[in-house]
Amino acid sequence: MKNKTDANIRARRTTIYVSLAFLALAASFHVLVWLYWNKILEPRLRREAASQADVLAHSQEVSLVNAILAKKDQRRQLLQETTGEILLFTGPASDEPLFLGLDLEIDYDVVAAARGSLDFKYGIVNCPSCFLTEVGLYSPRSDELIGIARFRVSDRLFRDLSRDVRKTLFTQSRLGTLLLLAVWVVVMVLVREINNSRQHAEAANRAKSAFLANMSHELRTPLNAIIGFSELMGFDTDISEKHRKNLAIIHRSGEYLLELINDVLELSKIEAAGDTMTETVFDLYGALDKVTEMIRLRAEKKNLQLVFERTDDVPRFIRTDERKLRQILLNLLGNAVKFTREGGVTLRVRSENGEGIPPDESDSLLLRFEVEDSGPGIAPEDMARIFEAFTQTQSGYDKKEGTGLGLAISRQFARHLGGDIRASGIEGRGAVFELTILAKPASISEIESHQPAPRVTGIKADKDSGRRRPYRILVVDDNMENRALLRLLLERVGFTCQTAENGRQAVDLCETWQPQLIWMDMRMPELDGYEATKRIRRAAMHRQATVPVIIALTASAFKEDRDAVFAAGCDDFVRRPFRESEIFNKMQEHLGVEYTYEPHDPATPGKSSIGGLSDASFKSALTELNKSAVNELRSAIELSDMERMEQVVAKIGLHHGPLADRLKELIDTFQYDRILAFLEGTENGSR
Amino acid sequence: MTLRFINGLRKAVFVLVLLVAIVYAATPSVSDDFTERRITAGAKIFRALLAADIDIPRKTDAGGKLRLGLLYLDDTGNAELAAATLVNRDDPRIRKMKVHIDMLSFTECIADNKGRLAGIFLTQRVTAEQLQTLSAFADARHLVVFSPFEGDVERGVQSGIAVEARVRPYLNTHAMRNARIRLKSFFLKVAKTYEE
Repeated sequence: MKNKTDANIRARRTTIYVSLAFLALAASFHVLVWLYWNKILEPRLRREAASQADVLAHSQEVSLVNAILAKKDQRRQLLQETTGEILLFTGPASDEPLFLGLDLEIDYDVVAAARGSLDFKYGIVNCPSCFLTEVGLYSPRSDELIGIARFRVSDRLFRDLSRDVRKTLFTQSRLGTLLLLAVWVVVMVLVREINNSRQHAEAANRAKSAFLANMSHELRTPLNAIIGFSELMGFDTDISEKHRKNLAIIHRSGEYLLELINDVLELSKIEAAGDTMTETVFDLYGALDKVTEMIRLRAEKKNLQLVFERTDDVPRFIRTDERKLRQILLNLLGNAVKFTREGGVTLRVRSENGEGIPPDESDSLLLRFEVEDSGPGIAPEDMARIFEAFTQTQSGYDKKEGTGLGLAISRQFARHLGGDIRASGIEGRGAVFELTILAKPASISEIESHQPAPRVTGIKADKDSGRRRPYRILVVDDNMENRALLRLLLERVGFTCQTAENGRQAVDLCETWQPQLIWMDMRMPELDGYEATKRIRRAAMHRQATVPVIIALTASAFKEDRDAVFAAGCDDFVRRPFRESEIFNKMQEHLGVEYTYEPHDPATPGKSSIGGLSDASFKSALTELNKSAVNELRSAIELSDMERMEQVVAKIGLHHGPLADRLKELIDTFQYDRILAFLEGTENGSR
Repeated sequence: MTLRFINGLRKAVFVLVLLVAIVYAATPSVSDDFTERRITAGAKIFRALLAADIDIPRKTDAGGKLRLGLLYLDDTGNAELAAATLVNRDDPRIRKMKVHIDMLSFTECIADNKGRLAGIFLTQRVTAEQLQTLSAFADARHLVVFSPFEGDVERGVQSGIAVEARVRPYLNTHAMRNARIRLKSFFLKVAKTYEE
């Protein structure tokens, strides 16, 4: 609702800005027209009219001079007749006289007449609107100046002309304003259409985000129970070996499913430009070996040569997002193998300093990865769009594989890593994909340990009293399984627990029982975690009691939801599905609880003995299989054909029970590459 | 086809060259007409200007004639035209004084070895250096110097013509003051003036 209001405000603001722009345009247009008339056109017309008046007046010079130079007795009368005639002239377009007034000033030093006798004034002499023109009267015989005639020329022609021109100009400017108005209407309609489209797009985006958030929650909530309970039961010493194996399968399947969900969410985050870097220090050599090994199986299946070249200056330990780098390389190498029919694929890695590294990344180095293949290459028309989402080359369409997202995601990832991907090559002669990333060199000591944390068995007793301190923990969750799981986990180590099904119960329990820490599910019916948190904090402060630590449990992967959790008043949050260690670590952090731990037993590392066979025994058992069984198993694995794999393992189980169990365990936990590696090592498995 | 095209091209080039030649030949002719008109109109104004000079009766030569110098540089054509305009009148006198016309080169004019001049009329445009020498010469002898050429009054020549809807006398007041030329106030009313 708020978003809709914001969109409406934005739309209204755009409308106002556009309208103001048009208003300013129209006002500017009118001001310009007004300025053009008053400063340019009207003065020019006036100058032209004055010039015309000059010419008209000048044309009367001869007749006036003749009258002045006439015989003495005729001069006065002739002058009156001439001036009278001049004042009679009218223009062709009006009845008004051209000359409204005229006065004469004679040089009596030249003209032989009594002083002032010829200085006549005729018609209107005081005419402010008239054009005043002075004409020198020269004697045609001696060229001497004999007098000056001052004409008052009517401005009627100028007035008529300027009125007509002004009328035309302002009529046209009004037409211009009308056109501007029409354009404004069209722009308003377009702006409205654009706003509507944008609102629809935003609504669709919000719906998509909500859908993803819901999906994320709905998928993670049951997964939490699956992973949590299987983990919890896995440590139970009372269960049989067979059940432990089954639990291990459930647990790994759950983890695998969680990884899938995370990948799907990652794609959504890339699209929403909200993806972030998860930098770790890792062994680059090891990671490259793993990647090439994974691809080698597929390359060898197509009889392609896979070459890996690495220069000595490439550092072994680097800090960057390992998962993203691995995903890009797998995509590029996978594509190369997929599209190459013969020849091979080469991965080259080298390190560069200096050029291409931004100044603020001066402590980084540029790693350049080249994936070259001898495949069909890329057509020039495809070259520009291969990095676009949902776009495939003709070869990709022909193969009917993939979504066309791989390279688009890879390029986004590469840019997140401070680099890019570029493609080159010639159609029909192979392609080269060049990946660059920025990475900081690191040392082995910076590698984070992946050893599992020791398991918590209880709460450590107080040193002074020798007794365990009691901790009251409230678990709030509308999902019964999740509630039960967390309660079981906490009570096992000695915490005192109560549970609540919704926010309202939680608020009531806080009043009566006053827990020290609350695990709060945020999405619940009746009263959700956000509101419950606010009320609990408010109530505790009101009665001046200690405010309990509230840790949110959320299945959302979105940053906005995390921000909302803190805004509601939660002290921390844990993302579902959680691991046991995360829960205990958070409680240690906020309550200062000290734990006792399960002693570390180096004799039982991981679950490698689940199948009851050591690696050597397993390999030995495989060599006993006949060649057709080995080939059939390998073929099923390479094609990822689960049904066939199960059939083959079932057949093997008829004669080799423990071997079949081990194979099944490896298949169930998706360790296909490990099976293939063992098969390669057997004589029967050699190609 | 190609031969016809080349022939057509040759004809087009010939016509083009001919047109350029005609335009080129016509341009100086137009320019000359314009100069001649300015000289004719200027000569009349020059006579009126001399008539308005208050001190003109004192500027006659020994024979009582007003000696007017028509200054040329390398071509006497304009000078001849000006001479004809100045003397071919019903009454060629100025304020009843006879007029004597001398066509002088620049050097002859500056030397003034034929007697006293009353005024100098430029029939060709002089250089800035020549103008400076001429002005000094005119200032010393209180001579009226007149040029019918556009822009010369602004360059420092005492007088000339202003051509607008009509032709008017055009005076450089500063140069007139330097040469101590005194004109009738009546004449100043119809003249256009240039203040440096």
